[in-house]
Amino acid sequence: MPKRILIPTDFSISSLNILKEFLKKDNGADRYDVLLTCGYHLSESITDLLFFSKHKILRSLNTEAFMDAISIIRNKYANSLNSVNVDLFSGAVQSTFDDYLEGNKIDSIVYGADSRFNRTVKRSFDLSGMIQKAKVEKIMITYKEKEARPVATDDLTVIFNTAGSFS
Amino acid sequence: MTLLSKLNLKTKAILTIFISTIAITSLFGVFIYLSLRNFVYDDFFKTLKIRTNVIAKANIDGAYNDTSFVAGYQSVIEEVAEKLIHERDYILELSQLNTKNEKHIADSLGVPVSFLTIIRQSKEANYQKGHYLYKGILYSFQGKDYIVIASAESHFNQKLISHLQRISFIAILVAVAIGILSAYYISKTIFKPISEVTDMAKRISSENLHLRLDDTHYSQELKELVKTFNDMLSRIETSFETQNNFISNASHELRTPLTSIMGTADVTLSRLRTPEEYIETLQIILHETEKLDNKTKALLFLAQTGFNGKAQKFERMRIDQLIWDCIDTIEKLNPEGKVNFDTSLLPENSTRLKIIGNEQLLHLAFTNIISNACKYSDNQMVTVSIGSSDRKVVIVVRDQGIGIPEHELGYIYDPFFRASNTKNYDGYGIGLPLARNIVRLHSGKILVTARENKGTTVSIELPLAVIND
Repeated sequence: MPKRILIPTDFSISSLNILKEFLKKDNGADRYDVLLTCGYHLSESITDLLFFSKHKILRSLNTEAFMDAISIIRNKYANSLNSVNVDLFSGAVQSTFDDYLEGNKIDSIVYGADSRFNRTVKRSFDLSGMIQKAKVEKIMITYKEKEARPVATDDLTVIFNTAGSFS
Repeated sequence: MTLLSKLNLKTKAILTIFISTIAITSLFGVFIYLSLRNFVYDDFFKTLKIRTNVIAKANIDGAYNDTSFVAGYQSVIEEVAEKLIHERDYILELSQLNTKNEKHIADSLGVPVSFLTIIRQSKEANYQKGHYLYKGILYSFQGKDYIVIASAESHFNQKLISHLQRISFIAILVAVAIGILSAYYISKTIFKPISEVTDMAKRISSENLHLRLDDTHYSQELKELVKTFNDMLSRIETSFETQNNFISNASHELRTPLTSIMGTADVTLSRLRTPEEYIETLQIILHETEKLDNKTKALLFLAQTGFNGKAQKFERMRIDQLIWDCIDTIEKLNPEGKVNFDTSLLPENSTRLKIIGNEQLLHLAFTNIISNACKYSDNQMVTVSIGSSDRKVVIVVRDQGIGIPEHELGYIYDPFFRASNTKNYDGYGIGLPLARNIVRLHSGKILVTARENKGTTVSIELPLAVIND
C-alpha cells in the first residue's frame, strides 16, 4: 500500500524540488501517492460559486512547464511514485485543514525548510502555518540550490538546480 | 466563368449585392402573387358553391313547397345574397342527361363534357374559362339527382394582377435604390481603404524598409492586416540587416588570415632568405591556412544546417549515450575541462530517452555547447543535466563562467556575433547559431539564460521518439 504524502506547492517549478529531493533521500524505500496542494481562496461571488469547477481552475493554474517538470520527476522515480496529483485546498481555519488531511488519508507532510511561498497564482495563500500545526507526521527537506538567481516561475531548468539535500 | 474571374473583387461584391437584392425582392413578389392568387380563386369558388346551394334550395326544394315559401326565400336571396357579376345559373336533372345530349348541353353552357362527368363522379367540380369561373355540384332531392352550376366573372383577378404589378414595380425600384446605396457604402468603407493600403505598401522598397504603414483610421480587420504587414516588415528589416552583417563579418573573418598569408609571403619574397626562414614562413602560412580551413568548414556546416539543402539521415538514438560521447570527445580535446554529467533526473525507463535525430549533427551541437561552457568558464565545473518528461527530453548545460551581458542576449544567434566580454577567448561566433540550426532541424527548442560574470545556462528540449508506449 503506497504511503500518501502531501507537499505544499505554489505552482512554481522550484516547489517541485522538494518532491525531487525527498525521493532522492528516500532512495526507493517506499512507494508514494503524492498530493501537491496549493492554498486557494474561493471567490465570494455567487455566480463564480455556481459555476465552480476545480478542474477548470487547476487547468488554468498548471503551466506547461510545471506539468513537464512533474513528468520529468515521475519518469525518474517511476518505481517509487504511484501517482502525483495536484489539488487545491480552500479553507480558513486549522480544523478544515485537519479534515482535509484526514479526508485525503495523508500519512505525512513533506515541506521545504527554507522555500519561500511566491504568490504566482492569484487568490493562492501559503499553507506553511497550517502545516506547522497539523497533527500528522512532518518531514522537513533541506536542500541547497546550485545557482542562486532570480528565475521565471515557468523556467524548466529550475528542476535541475539542486545540489543534493542534507539534514 | 472567365468573365467572372476577370472582374475585380469590388465589382464582384457590388454585383452580388445588386443581384441578390433584386432576386430576393422578385422571389418575394412571385411568392406573394402566387399564394394570393390561389387564395382568391379558392375564395371565389367557395362563394360560387354557396350560390349553387342557394339556387338549388330555392328552385328545386322550393318547387315542392308552397309558393309563399318560394317567394320568401327568393326575397331573402335577393336582399341578403347579391348576385355576382355576370352570374349565370343552370339546373339540370341528371336523369335527362345521357351520352347523346350531353355534348350539346355542355356546349350550350360553355363547359367541356368532362366537367359534367366529374360532377357526376365526385359530386363537385371547378372549371375556369378566361375570366369566368364555373362551380358545379350534384344535388339530391327526394330521390332525384340534379346538377346545379353557377358561373360568374372573377373581377378580383384582373384587379389583383394590376395591383400586384404596380407593387412589384415599386418594390424593385426600392431594391435597386438599396442596392446602389449598399454598393456605394461597401466601395467606400471596404475597398477604398484596401486600395489605400496597397498604395502605401507599394511605396516601401528595399531602400526604405524602415517605413511602416499608418493604421490609425481603419476598421478592426484592416488594422489587423496593417499590423501583420508591419510586423512582417520588421522581420524582413531585421533579416536584411543580419544578412548584411553576416556578409561583412564573413568577408572580414576570411580576409584576416588571407592578409596575414599575403603579408608573410610578400616580406619573405622581398630578398633571398635562409632555409630556416623559409621553413618558418611556410609554417606561418600553414597555420593561417588551417585557420581559414576551419572557418570555411564551420561556415559550410552552418549553411547546410540552415538551408537544409541535403536530406540528413535521421534515426532512432539514445540521447544519454550521445551526451556521454560528447563528454568523452571534449575530455580528449581539452583535458583541462571538467564536465559533470548529472543523472539525478535520468528516467528509469530507457524509452524516455529515445529520440529521432542525426547523430553527427547532434554530436556537433552538444560538443559545441559543452565546450563553449568549458571555454568561457576557464575550465571550472560544467554541469550537464538530463531529464525527460512524457513528451520531450530536456538537457541543461550550466556553467559558472563569464556569462553574457544582458543587452547582448538578443544577438547571440547571429553568425559571427561575439559578446563584448569574450575578447580574451578564441572563437568565430559560429557555434551557437550552428547549434540552434541543428536543434531546430530536430524540431527542438534551445533557450539561453545568462548573467554576466555569474554563468550561462543553456537548456535544450528535443521531442521524444515515442510519446505513448
